[in-house]
Amino acid sequence: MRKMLSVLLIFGALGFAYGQSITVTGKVVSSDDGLGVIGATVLVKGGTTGTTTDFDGNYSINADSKGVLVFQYMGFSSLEVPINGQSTLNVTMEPTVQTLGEIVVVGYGQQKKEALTGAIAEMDNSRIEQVPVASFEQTLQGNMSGVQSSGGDGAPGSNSQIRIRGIGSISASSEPLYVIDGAIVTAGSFAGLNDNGDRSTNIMSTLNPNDIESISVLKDASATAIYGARGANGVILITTKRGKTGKPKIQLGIQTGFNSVASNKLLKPLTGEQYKDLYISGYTVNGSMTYEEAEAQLIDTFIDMYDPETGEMISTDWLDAVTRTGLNQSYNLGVSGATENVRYYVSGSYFDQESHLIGTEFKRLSSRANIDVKINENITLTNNLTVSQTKQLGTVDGSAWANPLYNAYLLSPLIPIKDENGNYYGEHKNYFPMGGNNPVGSLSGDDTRETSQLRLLDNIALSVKFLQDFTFRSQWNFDIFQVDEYQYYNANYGNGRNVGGYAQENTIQNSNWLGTQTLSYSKTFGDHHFDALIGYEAQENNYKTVYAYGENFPNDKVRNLASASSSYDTSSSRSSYSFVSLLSRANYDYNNKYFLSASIRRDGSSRFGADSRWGTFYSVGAGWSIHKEDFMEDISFINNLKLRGSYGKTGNAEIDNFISRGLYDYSNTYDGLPGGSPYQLANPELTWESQTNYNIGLDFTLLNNRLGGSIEYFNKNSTDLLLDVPVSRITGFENYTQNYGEMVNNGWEASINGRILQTDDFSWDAGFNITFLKNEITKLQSDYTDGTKRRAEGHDFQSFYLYEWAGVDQSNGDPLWYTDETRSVTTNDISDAERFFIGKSATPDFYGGFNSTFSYKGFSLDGQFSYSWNQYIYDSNERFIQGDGALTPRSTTTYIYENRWLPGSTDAETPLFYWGNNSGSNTANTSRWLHDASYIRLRNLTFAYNFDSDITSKLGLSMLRVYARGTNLLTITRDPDLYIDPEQGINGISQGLTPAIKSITLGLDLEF
Amino acid sequence: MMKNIYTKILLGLMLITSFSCSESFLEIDPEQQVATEDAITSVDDLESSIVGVYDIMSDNDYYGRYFVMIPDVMSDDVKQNSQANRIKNYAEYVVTTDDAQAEDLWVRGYEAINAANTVIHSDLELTGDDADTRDILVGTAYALRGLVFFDMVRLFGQHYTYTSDASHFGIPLPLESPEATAQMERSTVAEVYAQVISDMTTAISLMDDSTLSGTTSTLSANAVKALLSRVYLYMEDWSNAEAMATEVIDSGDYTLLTNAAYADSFALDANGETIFEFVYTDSDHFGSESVAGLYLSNYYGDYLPSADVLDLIPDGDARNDLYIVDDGLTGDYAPFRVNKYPIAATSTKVIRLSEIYLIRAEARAELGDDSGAQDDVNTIKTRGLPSATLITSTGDELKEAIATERRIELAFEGQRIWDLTRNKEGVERTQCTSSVCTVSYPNDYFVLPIPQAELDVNTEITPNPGY
Repeated sequence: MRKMLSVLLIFGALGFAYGQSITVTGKVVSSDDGLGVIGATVLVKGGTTGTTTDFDGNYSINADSKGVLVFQYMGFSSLEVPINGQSTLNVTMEPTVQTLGEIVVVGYGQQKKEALTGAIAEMDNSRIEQVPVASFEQTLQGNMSGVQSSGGDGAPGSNSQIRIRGIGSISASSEPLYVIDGAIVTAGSFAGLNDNGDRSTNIMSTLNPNDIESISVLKDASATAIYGARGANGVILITTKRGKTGKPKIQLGIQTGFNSVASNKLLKPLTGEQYKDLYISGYTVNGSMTYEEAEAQLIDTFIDMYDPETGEMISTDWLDAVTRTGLNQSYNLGVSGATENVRYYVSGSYFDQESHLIGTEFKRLSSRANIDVKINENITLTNNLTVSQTKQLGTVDGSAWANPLYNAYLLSPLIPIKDENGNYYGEHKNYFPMGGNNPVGSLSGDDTRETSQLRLLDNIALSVKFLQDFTFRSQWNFDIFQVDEYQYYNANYGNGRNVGGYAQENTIQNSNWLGTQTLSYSKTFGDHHFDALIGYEAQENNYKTVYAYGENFPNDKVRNLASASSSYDTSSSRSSYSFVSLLSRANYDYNNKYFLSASIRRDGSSRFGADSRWGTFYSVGAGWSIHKEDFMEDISFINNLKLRGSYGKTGNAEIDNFISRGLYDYSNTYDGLPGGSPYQLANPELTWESQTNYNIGLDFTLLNNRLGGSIEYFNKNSTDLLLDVPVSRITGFENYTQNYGEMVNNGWEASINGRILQTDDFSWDAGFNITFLKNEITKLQSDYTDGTKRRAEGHDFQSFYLYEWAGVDQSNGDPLWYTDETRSVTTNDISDAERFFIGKSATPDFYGGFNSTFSYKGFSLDGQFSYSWNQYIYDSNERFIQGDGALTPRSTTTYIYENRWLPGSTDAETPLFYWGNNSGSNTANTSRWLHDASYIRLRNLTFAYNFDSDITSKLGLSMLRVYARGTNLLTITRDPDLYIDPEQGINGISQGLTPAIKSITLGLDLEF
Repeated sequence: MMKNIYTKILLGLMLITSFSCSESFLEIDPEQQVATEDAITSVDDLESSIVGVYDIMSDNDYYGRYFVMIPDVMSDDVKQNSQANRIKNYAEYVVTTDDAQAEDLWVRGYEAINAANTVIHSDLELTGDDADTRDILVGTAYALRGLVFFDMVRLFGQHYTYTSDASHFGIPLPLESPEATAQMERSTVAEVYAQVISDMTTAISLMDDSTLSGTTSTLSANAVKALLSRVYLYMEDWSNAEAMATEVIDSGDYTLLTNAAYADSFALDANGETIFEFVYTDSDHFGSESVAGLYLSNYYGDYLPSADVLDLIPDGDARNDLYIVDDGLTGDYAPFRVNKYPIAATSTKVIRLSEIYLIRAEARAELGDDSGAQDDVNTIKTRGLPSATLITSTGDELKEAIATERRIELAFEGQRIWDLTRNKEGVERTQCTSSVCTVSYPNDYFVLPIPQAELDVNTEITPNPGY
């Protein structure tokens, strides 16, 4: 470092040789309020001299009379001013936040940030660009208050689950609405074979995160009511990049790295010796066999347990064999610029991420062209086109035998990976239950599980200004995609063993068009500013699937259905929905001090009952810029103080397309005859879920804009919840959809960002956000149990309702449960115990993130953490993997091996292990499988160096940056032994998912 | 100025085109389903609705697997394999009200009843041939409803003679499609059996000797008589059981398989002996999630035939050939596997002619017609082993011999637990690989729990004791 400083000193000295040194003084003021800027950096360009401005914004510096002064301050554009011999230089700095901070993307337009009356969180692309994740949603967690984001699973390309200010619905979706460049788009999982219950595929992964300019998340009614029946879960507005005035810019980003498992505490499978020991003791411990009998049975059973060459007992580590260090690579090329009449941004990218599981991978190839053409003074034509293709090789999750992360623990280590001919071993299908799965062979190409997505998103808009104050905009969005899923399971072992191998394919085509016509008006009369918008929107979505299945393949080389010899099964389906909407909004402000806003939207949808097809949604909001009042004039440390509040009503329409109808279905066939049967009970009154929502927020910036933040309180009351109300099965149905329940989400959010330290070369910025959330079901027809949880009035929606585990009876190794919620009596017979609310929930008490960035000259170190407190996860696979011998002769984990009760144990953690265990110790829905998943995770750590312009200019570049980045490098959990990844689905159920990825990447960004 | 005119025209056009069609634009109908009220308007619709009932009943929650498995897994015919997993709680008598299979059977049963009720109450005005076809189809709906009631009352209620007047709890009896909010109490077992007899009798009066599929995969009037003879048997209404059985045998619609053909033809669809069965086609079977899946080693192979029943089969009897040796089994588990379901698509035999002989034998023995009973039971015994010594015993000894023959002949066809309980016997597993080897009679756990999900929403229903 010292060496570099001396080099710089020499360059600096050379610079001074040209002119005469003078003292320059002056004042730096902000264009915002004309006040002095405290602590702005003033540097001599190309030199080492620098100073900062004082409390009034004044500075004094020695510099060459022909030199150039550089003024820098966080949140403002840096300014270079030639001295030209002047000894006084007063400068006015412009806030840079103009691009994002000052103008905020809102529904159907943009707004000045200071005029907002609603709650909107924003994130710029610095937290998205070049983050080595397949889909941008994964970058949201910890970066925005009120936003909880979780991967459906940890595999690349997986679906994401996002909850904005909590879960607002019971049966309908709680996912937010996604809007790209002003158009509502399709999001979520669209797959039928490889989606693992919507966890593993994600249509939004077609979007290249590097094309995103910014993300706004709309949280309260003032912001979301303009989206009416689809606003209740919040709205994610994505704005893609556009060309900027100036010379054409060519940006190239290259990144490569390694992926491994983020959690280093995963359970370990047994070794061969351990398995043998456990196998024998599993019979001898309760006297069902002698040692010799059990050993003989072991040797009889595991016919290939000795290596044929060495004669030694084998010890397969299946977990180790299915995991690896995966490679990550990403290339991104963007060209942007603008001429007088045309703005353009064109990009192409390739992204390839191999997960830590062998054979699994996600690849994306994408392009985007965003073009704006000014036809004349008043007419602008815009076209945003993106085409993208993804390919994903994945695996099944849950307790499916083919799930490698399940099988790896249950397969005996006495089974070899390959047979003597070098083929993947499958003989154990004859002696080891579980279908003779060989996860290593399956993932190494013997089986295939592939999902491809092809998406075209075109957004074309014509904007016409007329009569000075009016703008008419007609926008048409086409969101068209196809998902192709393919599976092949070989004939030798595993899923395909009984049918000579099988293949199945599923193709989904979805086309969605959306037409939006808006007319906007904006006018200023003296101190009164008024703008208004009216619009009409129509949308239609058409979905279709085609499925085919075939089995009995001649060999493993031909895997298409054309080669299947029998059992063809085919099916297809179609489904559509439509929306028609009228929308309007008006904003008024007086002297940029008092703000009022209101919006109203009327929505109609094909999804709802004929008797209640239309709904009206609205919001009102107000804001007050307190700092502009006279009485605030003397309080100089407050730069900005704004109080705002809103109230409104939104809706949630995310339910099945035909759920209101009484239907008769014809998917029943019997003995080759076509059949039909009653399918669904009718509810012609079925309509939207409604949500009334109020929000109070205080925004502030202090200490000469060095510290800024917001505090908000929100309360969302969801009513008419669409409930799949369970009905008596005697009706022939299990449930029927009604608008009945009510639920409240309320809480606090706070975020604060600031520059903690600032010297000539060094700066330290930090940010913090936190969200406290409380959820409560306030009305329900009748309480009911739903898996591990019970939905009951007065309780959190995600409250676990379980048998409470009371540990092991150290006298005999029996499992113990508390009989009831008094927790005073224990029993070893689960039928004497009852389930109760154990006081734990999958909803965290609070969550959020913090970040810190250190910059020293060209170097920067950026760390970003996320955290979540007091959330619990139920592992639904654990009762099988750690079932105390219930399933003979499946292997288990070293945790069970080491902690099981044995005669003489005094501190055993798990019960007596014996084959055919029927003590009920592996019963589902007990707190034995529930884990505290509170965590803090270092999501991102980036160390970067920006090369000096001297060097870059010699290379003909305008920017050169190299960096090393670590993703999920460190995870600290409250439960030090937590062996599953703490970030599972929002519902707090772990289902043998691929755990989160830890990546270490190196990258290079160039700009010409 | 020109520009403004263009703009106005453009604006006007867009607004007009967008507003004009909005109400019809929102009327989108599903393409895979039709509105319930439009579902049954023709005789073809009636036919597909009946196929729908068969399909629901053929599901692997019901006749496709668990309805066949559970009564045997609870009994002394089946022993657990070492890795037994699915429905193991039934073998060990530790089922709870949360049990998934109990709930699935409950759900599937009432789904089938609702579908049958839809046909029964379709009230189509038809004439001529269509009216005849309608009557047959409506008759089939009665028959299937009766069968489901019979199945459900056996699963969820104690056997008919558990109380002297069968006044103990049976199941709810919805005779038409209930409202969504309906709640219903349980009828007594006597009421349920009366309804079963009424439904099946109505069916017989409406149906003829044809079947919808042309094979035994669907019901004919004689097949309903066969089922009814079993209903009477369970009620110990010996004379009606005898009468129905005789009608079926005398109809000549069914013939016993020969000794030579028995082993090879047993599993086949429409083998001549089967009176009614649920069939599975190549493209429409459950793979491992089938009865075969639970018995065969290449699938889950969770359950094995116990020596308790296998040892009863005489050497050389053709019925031995329905069991195969599996070299992979060791110790108490070795060596046999059930091969009555050799492939996943094997049909589920609901009732066969040999059972009708055995029903009649039992009824005749109870009625004191010992020689008639001997003839019937010997017909079955010598079909298995032509050289077998004929049964000549009388009285209780004869009844015992008939019960043994019934156990051998109908093993692994899903009736054993009820043959035990209706004779007021408990479960006594001699070759026992389970943790539970004896279950005494009477016992609360011989019936399934009313599912928790039903108890949660139906305040009228009474839970089964013990759960």
